[in-house]
Amino acid sequence: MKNKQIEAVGEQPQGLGEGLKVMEASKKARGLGLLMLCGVSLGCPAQGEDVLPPVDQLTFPTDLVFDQNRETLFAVNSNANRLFSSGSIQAFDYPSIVSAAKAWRDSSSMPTGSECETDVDFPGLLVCDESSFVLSETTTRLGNFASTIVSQQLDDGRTRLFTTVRGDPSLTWIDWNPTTARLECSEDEDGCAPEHRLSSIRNDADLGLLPPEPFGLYVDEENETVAVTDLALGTLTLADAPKNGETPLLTDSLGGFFSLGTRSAVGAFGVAGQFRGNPDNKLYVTSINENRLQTFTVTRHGGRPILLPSEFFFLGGQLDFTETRGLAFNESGSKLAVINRSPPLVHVIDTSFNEQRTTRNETLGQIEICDDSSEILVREADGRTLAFVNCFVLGQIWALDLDRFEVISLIDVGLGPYAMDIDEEEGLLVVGNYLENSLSFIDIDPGQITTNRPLLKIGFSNDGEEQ
Amino acid sequence: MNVVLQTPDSKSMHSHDKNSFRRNLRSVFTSVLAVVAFSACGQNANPPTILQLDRPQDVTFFCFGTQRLANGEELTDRALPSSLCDAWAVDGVAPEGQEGINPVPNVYGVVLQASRGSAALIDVSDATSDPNTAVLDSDPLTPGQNDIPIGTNPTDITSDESGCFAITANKGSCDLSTLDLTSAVNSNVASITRKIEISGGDGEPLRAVPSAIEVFERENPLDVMCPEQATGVAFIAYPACDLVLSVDLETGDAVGGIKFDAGGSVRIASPAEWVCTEECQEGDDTNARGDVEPQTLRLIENEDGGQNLLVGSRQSSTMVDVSLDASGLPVDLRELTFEGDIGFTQIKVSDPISVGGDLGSSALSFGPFRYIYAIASDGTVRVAEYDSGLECDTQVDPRFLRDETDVVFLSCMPVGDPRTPPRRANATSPGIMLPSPATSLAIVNITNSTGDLNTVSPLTLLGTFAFVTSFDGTIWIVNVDDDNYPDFEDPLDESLVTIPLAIAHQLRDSVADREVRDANSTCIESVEPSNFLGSRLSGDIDIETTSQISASRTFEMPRLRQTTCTEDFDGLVSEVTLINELSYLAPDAFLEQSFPDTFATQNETWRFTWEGTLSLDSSLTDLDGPRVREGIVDSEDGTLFIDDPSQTICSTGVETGDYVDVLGCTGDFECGVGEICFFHPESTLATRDGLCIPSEQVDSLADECREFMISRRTYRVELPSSGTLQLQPRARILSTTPLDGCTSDNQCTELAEVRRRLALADHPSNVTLAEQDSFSYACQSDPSLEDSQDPVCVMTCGANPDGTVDECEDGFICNEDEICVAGTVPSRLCLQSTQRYQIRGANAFIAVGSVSGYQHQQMADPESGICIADPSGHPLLHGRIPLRPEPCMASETSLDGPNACTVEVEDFELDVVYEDDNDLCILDNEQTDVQSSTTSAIRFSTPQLTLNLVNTESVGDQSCNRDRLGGFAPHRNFIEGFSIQFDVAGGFLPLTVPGVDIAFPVSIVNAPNDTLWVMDQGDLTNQSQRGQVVTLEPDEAISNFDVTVVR
Repeated sequence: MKNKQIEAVGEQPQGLGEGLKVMEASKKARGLGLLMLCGVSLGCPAQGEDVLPPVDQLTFPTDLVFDQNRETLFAVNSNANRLFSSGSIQAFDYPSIVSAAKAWRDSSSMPTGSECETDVDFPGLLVCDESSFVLSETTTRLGNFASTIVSQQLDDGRTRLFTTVRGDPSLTWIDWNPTTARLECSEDEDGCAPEHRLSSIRNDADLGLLPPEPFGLYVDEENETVAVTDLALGTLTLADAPKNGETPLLTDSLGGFFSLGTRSAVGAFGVAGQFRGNPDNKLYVTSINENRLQTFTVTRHGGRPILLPSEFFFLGGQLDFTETRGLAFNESGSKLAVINRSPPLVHVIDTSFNEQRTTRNETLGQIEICDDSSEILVREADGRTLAFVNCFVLGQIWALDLDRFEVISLIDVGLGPYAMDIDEEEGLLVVGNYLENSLSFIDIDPGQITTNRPLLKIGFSNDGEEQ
Repeated sequence: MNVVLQTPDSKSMHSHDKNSFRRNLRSVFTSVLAVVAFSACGQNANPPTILQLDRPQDVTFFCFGTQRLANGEELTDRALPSSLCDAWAVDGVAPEGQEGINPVPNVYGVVLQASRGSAALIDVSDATSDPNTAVLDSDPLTPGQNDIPIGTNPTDITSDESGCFAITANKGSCDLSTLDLTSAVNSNVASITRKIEISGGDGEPLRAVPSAIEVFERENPLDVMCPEQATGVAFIAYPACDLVLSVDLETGDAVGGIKFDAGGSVRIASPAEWVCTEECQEGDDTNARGDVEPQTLRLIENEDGGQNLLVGSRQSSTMVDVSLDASGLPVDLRELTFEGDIGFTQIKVSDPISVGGDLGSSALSFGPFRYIYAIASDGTVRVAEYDSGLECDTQVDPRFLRDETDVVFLSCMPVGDPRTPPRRANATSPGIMLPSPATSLAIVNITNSTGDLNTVSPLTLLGTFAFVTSFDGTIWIVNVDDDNYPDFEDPLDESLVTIPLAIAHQLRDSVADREVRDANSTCIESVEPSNFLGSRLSGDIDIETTSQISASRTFEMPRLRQTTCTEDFDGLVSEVTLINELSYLAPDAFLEQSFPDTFATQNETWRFTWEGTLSLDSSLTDLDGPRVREGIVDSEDGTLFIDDPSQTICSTGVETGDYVDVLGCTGDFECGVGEICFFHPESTLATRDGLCIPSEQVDSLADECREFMISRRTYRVELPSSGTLQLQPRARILSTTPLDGCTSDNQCTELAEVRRRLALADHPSNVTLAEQDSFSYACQSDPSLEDSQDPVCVMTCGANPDGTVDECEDGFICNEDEICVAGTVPSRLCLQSTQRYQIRGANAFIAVGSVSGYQHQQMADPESGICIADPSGHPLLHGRIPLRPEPCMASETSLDGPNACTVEVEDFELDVVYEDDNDLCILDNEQTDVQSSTTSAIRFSTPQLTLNLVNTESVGDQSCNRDRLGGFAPHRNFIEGFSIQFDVAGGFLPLTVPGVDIAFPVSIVNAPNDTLWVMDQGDLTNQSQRGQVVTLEPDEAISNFDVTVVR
């Protein structure tokens, strides 16, 4: 399970090419969340005809998530070059990936039945065609420019996947049935059915629409909610996500918390929860426009989850921090790491309680990182708080020590590393390489000589060219 | 990259084409999105930037040039013993044996670039004169700017004892690298680097991750050529191994060591302990941890001419002072303990300093003393006096130092010493606190400042100073010993010295002319900008009130104590001017009392509002949390509850008895999904909001919730906790109710008249109040309170025996007890939406500074979560001024006793004299003297200022306004919303190095030419850089430190 937010390359506005779009959310600052757009034809020209995306190849993967049992790894493909008529979601046979990676690490043996080779530049890295690991019959079409994906374990054993789709402004939800090994969101093969694409509050357009650039996601399984940020209007939208398998529902949306800054859109980016599963879980939201972190709590009122705005604070400093991106808490919620791009630093925030039982929200320190990072994962290992950040242009993942405020490792992965997720049990970090349509699997087991080294890459590098 | 919207189901997309323009600002967003879309289709192209450096981390310096050996032979273009350049630097005269050498040797810096594992050479003289070409290209035959590969993930750099080799400690390979500096400068030969593998006490390779390296210093003869390889004894800290080793650089063999135990004890280790677990096996870069983790080292010369090694650890507040023998081996240990659970990341030690004495000289001084400055893990800079080993408290409250003249004590007030006074209110440790955590520091002695030594000026740096970098990219300056400022307060003239500027180890102030007073001997208020002169009132004091108080009555309202300024005109005529006690024209004693700690004083706006909100934050400030909050409101058994899942209630400073205004909404945009903001048609309040209700229930709820909707919805807080506010209806109490408690209904009726007159400018003898505006009051206990209190005048309602009906004032509801209340407890049907609310303090002025915020001591009880006063809270952290507080303590400097408190003061005001015929209330304009009186005041102190409020209660007027002959029971003559607002100037503005953007300073180093070099690893993306070296000249403060930048 993870929560994260990633940045689409170039942060292009998506979903505006259809002419009139109406966006109306719900509340006060609900004000700005509830504005409308109409009557203008915006965006860039369409190209793709009805060409189906490949079922067994990655096409600009933007995010990754595991199912609850780590049996299946899901990747969403954004179709960023618009060669195809849609994006897609793919399921991978994760145990076979783990098996291949560890067999390679432990005995240098290649998996049978897979097209694999040793990397020319890094002999310790095994590179395989992804098609042998994709459960290709499950690949399902999505709108273009899917951004983020999170998963929720349902009571009946299924895994519910939520993904933000910018080209089809929606929070799309899909159930993974491990018994049938199918992604369930439609009765036919033409993508997910409309009821799986949540785009209006309580499914009533009169009550407000999902803002046009749904982006970051956060799921709280126990509290049965999903929070969605929006890159265009800076809103946070909430969905009711019942664990009993009932249909999820957008229930609330707030905006007006972030300023426009020097950009042309307000832009809420990342969202992370401090105490996942706790009724007092607090959501922190970042913006690409300023250094403000706005907090929210979620409570149920009238049977539906709603957002309550709480305090905000600014990443402090003499310099004008203006481009805040991904953020993540440590396990206990006492420490928050936030990426800011200008200058490129990870800010480590003390979010422990003070004497007033309020989070301190004070800067502990900063770590200088690459200048194009957007996503961060935080983990606890051996009593230490560590983090991974992606370095998109460098093709690296940087490992950070959040206690000592230092970079501890630079890990070469592939072109455009973007999405990340961790399997602590197997000691693997998974990275989606957006620009080369591949996934890298990095050994993060501290007991190995290959620690912080990529073991396996699936998807032959093609630099994002035609497939 | 251009993008296009192609979705798998265009039908779905069109379902969004519904246009429901219900919200405003749509045109704004239309424009916004149009721009977004446009920019998405374009591309930006920036020209490449040639960079000389790549994330510099540290630097060491070396001497290079020509040397004459003892045999007369001259060697040219060679690295030289560092002592040679030191000798040349003394007055520029050739040292003995080097006469006639030309050109004189030059100094170079070896800049460590950790991320590249390389070194870059910088010509020190060019760094300030020609920074664009200061970095040497190590390989001119290879295109681009080339540096020298030196090691894997090097973490620290120094020079060997000869000064001819740079030594790096490599985290990535668990070894050392040496760089032959002669080869490094000479571009016609390849740079020679060599690895030094460390051997432990068992003779086996010791492959642990080092964090710091220092090299034992020996005297180098000037006429001896450099050795063939690095020499000397290096000290290397191994954090994960809890070990500091002495290593022979020629062999790599360990020759000594000190070992830390898990409990924090330390000992000189035997050879068997000079071993560590392998940390650099292939792929292992996880940085194992030790228990104490020795992290940083600093060699210092001891009083015997030998050397000691200071060791700071990440996980221990104890610093270790290691005595070394002549060969560099540890022979003795001493432990220096610092307060708190901290560790250290950097240590610097000052040269011996004489403290006290005359300005600008060391005559009549004491010492010498040396001070340890250490960057602590809590972000502060900790200070200790080296010889005594005692930590100095840098946060002593200056209130207690006015009479202290012991300069030795003032130069280091030991932590925990009974003589050391209490700390400042906001101090969290004895260390020097910066606005952003400190990252590194350097200490400089300045003997020849370019500033004007005849005057006290922030830009005249003479003495010893620390330059401290912080995470936010600022370089701060700390007075270690300011030789151009008095050392203590002059008992004959308090105005001559600002104590925080006199005592040691304080951030240096940048405000000019703090001690300049009444320069032209006039009574004209200073209009200097806020960064000139001492702390003072700036501009006028604004009194704000509501329409219920006549503006012409503000002179009767509470105000700050006033005094006088007398201006002589040629000794023949004098004019007395009324001035405020915070005015810069006020007597020195007033200002000293008003602004007792210059460093705590901020340039800010203070607002004291009667029953004001506990936050004045706007969308751009985050001092106290949002002024208007949003929560779920519920009702049960006659009580309203507001739940705050974010548990921020105690942090607001709310106390039992405070008020909560349930604000409702101002428009639909503030309501939830499917709700509207409903304004009840029967509401007569112009200033109250509507209520969010489900749009489909308007008809039913308009009746069901009528009383809730039309009332002011102000409630009294009961037992607030971190997550819940319990609210009770609040009775309407007459604002002029007697402060000693009422005695009868008739008295209440009389005081209600007094209250009504306040809205009028007319004199009492000329006023006829309208009957229909009167309300009934009864003298009884406040029904809102359970505890027995003095009786108060309560507005009552209901049918009278004579058939008339007493109504409540607009916005108040007649409850079942026939009491007018400011809000009802409605059914849950009325509370289906979230509610906006604000919290106000009750029965007190609420003090809020625009920078300091609302200061309070409320905390959550660890067990119950109920908001309580922090039993260990500092008494100055207080933001409420009640009427009638307890008497003040006799000592003005004591922190004991109540805050606020009642005190008798001398106050001045314009005399108001009416002509004989009082009924007409005609002012006698001939009699406008300033009169003084001893009056009761409320003294209130915060860390930032102290003030005295007078005129806080009234007995009313008899015939004419302010005749003060009303004879009514003492009461307050102001109402909620009344506020006093003023600006403070001359607050503390720390001196920093201006004019340069630094993103991420990781170290600051003393260069041989008396400049400081700041290693900035950060990227300022708008400047296309990968770090920079910033050089500055500490003695050139007057010219902004002559900063140069090498990138």
